Amino acid sequence: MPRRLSESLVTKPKSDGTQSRPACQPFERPAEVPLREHADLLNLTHDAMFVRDMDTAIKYWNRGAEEMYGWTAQEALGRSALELLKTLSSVPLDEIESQLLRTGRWEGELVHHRRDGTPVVVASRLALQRDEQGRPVAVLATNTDITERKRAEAARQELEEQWRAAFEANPTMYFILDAAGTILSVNPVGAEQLGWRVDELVGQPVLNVFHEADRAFVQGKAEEAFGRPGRVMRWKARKVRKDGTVLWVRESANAVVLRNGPVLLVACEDITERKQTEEALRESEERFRTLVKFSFDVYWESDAQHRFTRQEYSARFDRAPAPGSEIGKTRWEVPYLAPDEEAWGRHRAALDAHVPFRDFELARATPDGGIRHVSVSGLPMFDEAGRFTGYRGVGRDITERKRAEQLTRQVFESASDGMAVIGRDYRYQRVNAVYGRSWKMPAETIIGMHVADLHGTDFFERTVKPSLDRCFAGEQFTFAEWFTTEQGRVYLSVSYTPLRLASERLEAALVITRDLTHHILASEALREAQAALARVNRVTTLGVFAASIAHEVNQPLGAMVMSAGSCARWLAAQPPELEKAQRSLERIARDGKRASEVIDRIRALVMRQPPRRDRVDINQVILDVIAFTRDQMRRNDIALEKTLADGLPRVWGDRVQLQQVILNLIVNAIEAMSGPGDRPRQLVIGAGEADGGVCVEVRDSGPGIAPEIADKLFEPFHTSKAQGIGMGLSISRSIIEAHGGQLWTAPNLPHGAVFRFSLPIEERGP
Amino acid sequence: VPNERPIVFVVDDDLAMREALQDLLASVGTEVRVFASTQEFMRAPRPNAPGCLVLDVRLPGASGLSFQEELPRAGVDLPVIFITGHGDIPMTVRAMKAGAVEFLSKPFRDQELLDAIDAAVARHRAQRRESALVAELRQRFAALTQREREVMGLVSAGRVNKQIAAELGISEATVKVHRGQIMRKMQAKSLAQLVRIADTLGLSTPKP
Repeated sequence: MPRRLSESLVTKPKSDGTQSRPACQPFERPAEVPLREHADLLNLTHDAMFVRDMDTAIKYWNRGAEEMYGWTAQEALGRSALELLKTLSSVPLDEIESQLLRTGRWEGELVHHRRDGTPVVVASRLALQRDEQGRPVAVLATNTDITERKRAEAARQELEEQWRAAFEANPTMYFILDAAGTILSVNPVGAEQLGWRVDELVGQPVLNVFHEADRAFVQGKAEEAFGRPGRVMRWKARKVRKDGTVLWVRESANAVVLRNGPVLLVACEDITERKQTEEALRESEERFRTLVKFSFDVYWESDAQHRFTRQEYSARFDRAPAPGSEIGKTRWEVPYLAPDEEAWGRHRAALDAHVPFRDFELARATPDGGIRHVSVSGLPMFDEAGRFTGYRGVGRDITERKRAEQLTRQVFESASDGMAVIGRDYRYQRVNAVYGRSWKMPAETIIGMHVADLHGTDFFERTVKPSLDRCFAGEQFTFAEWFTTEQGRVYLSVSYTPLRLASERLEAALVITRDLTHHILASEALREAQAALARVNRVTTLGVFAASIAHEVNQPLGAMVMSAGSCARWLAAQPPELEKAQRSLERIARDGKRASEVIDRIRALVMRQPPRRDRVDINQVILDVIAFTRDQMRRNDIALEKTLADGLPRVWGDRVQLQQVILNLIVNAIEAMSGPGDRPRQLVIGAGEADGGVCVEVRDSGPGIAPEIADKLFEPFHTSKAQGIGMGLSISRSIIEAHGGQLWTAPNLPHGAVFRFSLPIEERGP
Repeated sequence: VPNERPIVFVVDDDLAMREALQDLLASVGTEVRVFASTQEFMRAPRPNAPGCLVLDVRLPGASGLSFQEELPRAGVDLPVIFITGHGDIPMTVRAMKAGAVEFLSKPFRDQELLDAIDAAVARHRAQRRESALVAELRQRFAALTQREREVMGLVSAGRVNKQIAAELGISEATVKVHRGQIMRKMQAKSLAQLVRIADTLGLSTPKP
């Protein structure tokens, strides 16, 4: 058909009357009339068709050309087609021309320009027309506007590029799999994230990149996805990189059916970090939960209407309510025993104000008919918008503490001693009934009073305040003394104890007073009787040592007499030896003093004198006693050994009484060893520090103490001696106990007995 | 050697007593050595001189009395004067029996002690003279022959020459020769003196 057409077009068609439009009359030669009909047909096409001669002059111009280029046939005819259309071509025009001449046709894309200068892309088909002699005479050009098509193609290409870019450069990993699970395509990110190159992955089974443990799961998911095309499936799984490291991914998969069959499009996101964060968060929550459970008995949450939404009990919270039985109820809708309505009202007001609350105490009945006290604390919760969403908090079982508190209160109230708690402001915070009675007023009246108001300012400043201040400084102490009150003289034992209630801060002083007046009067009488007895004991005991004492006194006296004689001789010498005489006199003076000291010691033991409380060097006491018993030991062939530790702290006590105890123990030891027998007689007197006190012991190597009499040893009138009255150990023990110490006996090894006594080292005497 | 200077030894554990005794004896020009214990005394050198021992009855360890009893065995021949702070009768008896020169109770007058010391030193001098004499006689006796010792024993026992000759189976003349030798060697001027010497030497008297 083009061939036929082109054949007809080479002849110039004649103008046709019915054809008024000039464009429809391209052919001048009348012989070519049949071509007009063809030309009319040609006008029906939208393609631009024109005929040009070999000099490019336009010979025919159809309506399509008029419409496409904006030139009418009249305007176009005779003009050079190249110039008129400003033809551009990617192929050189003379090349087109030469191909046309050689083959008779050419097809390709050209760019023409419209009358208004805008370019139009055309698919151009050129056909050469030859005459009977075969000479080229004209060219028929058929041009189809492909500008739109070109644009669409460009748009498609651009879209494709965008998609490709989206696929390749998107930070999300994309995989396309076939139904067998083979990777058809993967984006560079997807490959790179796994440490592979794209070409290494394509063609591989996708399961290879999954963690072995997750493969079956992923396979199942993929199959499911293929089974429901168009529906997006999501899952999380682990993938393994080329280097063996693991990453967590979340994948979204969608199966689509393409021309070649169904494929699975998989978008994959690395969530390792998020997974780790989630893990850390979960662990931290678990730790928190454990901590709460460990520290508290109950963890609870409630909603904006204060209804429980959650309750968790620790294992040690026994007799817990049935799980869920309180969910949906408010704290006050669950049956309770305490507190009262007023306290609940305050609690509910706090909840409604959405403020934190601490240590709200309540009591509930337990299933077994008991009572449980719970202390609850809570914090309000708010969402991101700041709206109150409820409370969460903890609870603690304080039943034991409550019980202890009640006990303490009972002890406080029913104690037979007067008890008062005094604050740092010197005001009474609590007093018990006994304390109130001692002031002849109700306890409630005293509470809140200033100590000075009760005791009088003078007494307060002089006596009570210094003690309270000592106590507030952290000291705990007890003392007893006579107080003069309106009711007369009373002997009170008073103890001050610092109280730290809720915190480490010292808040108050506990003062406990006990009226010991009757007791002290009785014990003073007893003490007097004891003192008299003790004196009898001393005198009796000294009798045993009469010879020994005489020896101790005679020793210095003998020396004095002799020194006096020598002194007289030195003076009588010619010339008188004055210096030597003086030395004799000095010795006389020294020995005279020594003799009088022995007498003094004896005198102290015999004299009736009130007990004293002095700082006593126990070693000196021992040495004093040894001084007048030494001779008695020699007389009985007893070897004396002293083991007195140096630098012993001094004890508070009465020197004479302590001498008496040691004297009694030495007498016993000497007498224990004075029986017949050739066993070595050894007496060891030791003193040392022990257990915050001083310990003195007297050991003998006598026959020891039969166990059956060991218990009776310290009873009055127990004696194993013909001439004894059996008071020595009894008196010794009461003396030591009055000094706050202890006296006891133990067997000595290998023979004999040890008597030991301890004395406390105190700031003040007992 | 009658003018040999005496030394007084004192054992007393009381310092005051030791000092006083030392001073007292120094004031009368007597040499004195004081000791706090018997052990100290035993360890100290004792010059060969007249003297005495002033001993406290009560001493640590062995008492003065038991020490006195041990002295002869230890070769100490010093006469002992006891001093004591508070004496008693049994102790005095025991001490005097053991040969104590004096027993003084403290306090005693200085002169009492000095007199006792003089007496003790005199006794020691006599003792020393006696022992010196006995030693001399032993030496002379040692110079006798076995036969002369036999004859001397019989002579001092009161046997006459005839009896001696019969007893020993020798002649009367020979007995006479032995007797002359004995008198000469023993430096005895009379029969009575020879008998005393034999007595001093403790020669056993043969059975009649």
